Amino acid sequence: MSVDDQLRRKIDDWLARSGLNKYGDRPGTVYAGGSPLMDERTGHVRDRYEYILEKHPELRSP
Amino acid sequence: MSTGTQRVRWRWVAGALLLAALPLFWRGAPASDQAPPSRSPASPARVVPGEIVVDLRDSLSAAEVTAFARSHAATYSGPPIDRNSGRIFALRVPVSAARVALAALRADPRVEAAELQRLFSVPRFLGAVPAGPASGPPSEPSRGWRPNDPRFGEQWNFHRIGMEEAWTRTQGAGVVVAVIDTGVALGYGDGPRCRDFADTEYVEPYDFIARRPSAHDDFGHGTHVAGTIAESTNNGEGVAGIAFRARLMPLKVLNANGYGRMSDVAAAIRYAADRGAHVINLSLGSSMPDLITRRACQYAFEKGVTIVAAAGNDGQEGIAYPAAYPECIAVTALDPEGRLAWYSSWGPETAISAPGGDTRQSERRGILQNTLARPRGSAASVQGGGAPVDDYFFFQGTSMATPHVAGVAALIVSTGVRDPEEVRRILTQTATPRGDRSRYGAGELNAAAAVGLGAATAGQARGHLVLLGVLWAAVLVAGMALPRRARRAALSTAMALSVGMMLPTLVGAFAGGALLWNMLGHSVLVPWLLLGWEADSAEERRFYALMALGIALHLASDLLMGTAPFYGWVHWAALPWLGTNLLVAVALTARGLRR
Repeated sequence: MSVDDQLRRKIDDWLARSGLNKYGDRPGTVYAGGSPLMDERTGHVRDRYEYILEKHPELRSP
Repeated sequence: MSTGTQRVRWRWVAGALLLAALPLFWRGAPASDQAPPSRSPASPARVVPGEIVVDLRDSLSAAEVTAFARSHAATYSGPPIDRNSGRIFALRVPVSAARVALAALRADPRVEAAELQRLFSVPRFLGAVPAGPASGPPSEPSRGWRPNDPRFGEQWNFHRIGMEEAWTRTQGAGVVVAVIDTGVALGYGDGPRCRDFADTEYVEPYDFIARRPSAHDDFGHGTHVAGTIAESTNNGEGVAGIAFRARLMPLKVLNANGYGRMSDVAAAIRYAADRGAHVINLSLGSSMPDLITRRACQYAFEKGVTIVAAAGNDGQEGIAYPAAYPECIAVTALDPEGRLAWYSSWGPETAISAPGGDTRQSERRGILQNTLARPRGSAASVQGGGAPVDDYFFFQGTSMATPHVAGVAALIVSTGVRDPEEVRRILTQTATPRGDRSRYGAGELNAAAAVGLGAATAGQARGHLVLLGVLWAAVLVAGMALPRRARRAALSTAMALSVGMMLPTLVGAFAGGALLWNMLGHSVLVPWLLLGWEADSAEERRFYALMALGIALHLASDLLMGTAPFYGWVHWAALPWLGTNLLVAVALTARGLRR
């Protein structure tokens, strides 16, 4: 599912207001390998905005 | 005193002051003990309602710890998180008063650090691909010792960093490496032992989530990482580990659902330091710093533990924490051609780079180790349940690069080098330069060269001690038969040579990794000043001249063995610096003794 520029801006604004980290997780969250966007076991990579939307689907609503 | 003599002395003093002041400009501002500013949006938002993690001062007694909570109208949430010494606690306070309580705790002199309790998460696992059958040995011939593990030929990464040659010197015996991760499948009673860990030894496992002495891996990540460090080797099974005679200390801070607590990571670092770990591997990270973890890293570093941490997998500038802390060795990942891997984060804190694999090129370009994981496409991986498979998997990431460096650090420690600053120096000094320091740090890990320099450094220190021991024994034994005057001269000679030989080492011990201090320590500055300004009598001149001779002996051994602490930083200047100072030291000795 693609994330258009308007939705990206909305997510960035929401991140700045919410005080979460750049992945939309709580501050101080630790990830295997240091990032949640790549699963080192599978090589599977996710777009940061899609990762955020997966956990915060309410951001898709207008 | 004549005017001419005064002028000469002032010239000496002015030169000395100028040289002594240089390091002040060189070192810059002292490192702050505060966590560096975050690169992500920071937030004071709490995660666990009404829960604050406090790191209490080490000097507090049990009674004072009890009184501490009462004085803040708080209660402890369970036993100490750092159960070894009881320093880190989770405190419960009224939710509505959490902010005020946090401020009060931070202002309390009994508290080293206080943070709101937070949760960590790791991504959902989609299933991995088992490596399949062995593909045969590498085409390139190997130098050194080659283990009989049938799939060793697929470990291109070990071949690339010169493991076969490094293993001829050491295999890591006597070293403990803590793996702070998802646990390690070593069969503690609540989970199976992976097949290629049969001979791997472990000590003091601990699960910081369940708070029990076990650390089974229910995620698959920690076992793979631990395998790179110390998978059973030369056992006719699977693949090899870098420091396979080292013992692992498996510390679990992330659970099967990918959640953990910040306080657990900090407590695990302290636990490892208190329980005798020499090296800590942190194949994890956060985008934001925190003071409690920083303090834990400082604590471990000061106890002589080498901490190696992953740079992160964002594929852009910005090193993850704790790798970005100066106490840690930040590792970026390389692909099989030695280029920065597409996924690796980088930044000015990068210390070194190591193979992390690239399974985009092909599955077999990843890092192969044994672990427990759910195969991709299986019902278990789709549903998130079921039993994982004990198999060999190719993974890729900075998590895989990091244990290469931790494993080689363990090998260096096993040669006799214990100081983490020294271990870091050896790793970076021997790395193969790759260019851009923010991407590659000092360059690509070179295990063979690192272990060689480690052995030389430890051998040099032992050699100096033996030489001085023989010298002093001879002086003391022979001294008894000598007349008083000759005995005094012999003692003075031994003392001057000892001071000279040990001076560069002593300066290094105080200066740590500071480049210019170490360069000055490895120079004739001190005897030169003393001979020019201080020496009034023939006896003093003789003492300082022999001190210069002691320094000359130290510099000569540095030249022969490549062990000067600044060798890696200013390689182009090291040889001329050492050579020039050696010649000047010899000249000062000759001049001082002649006069």
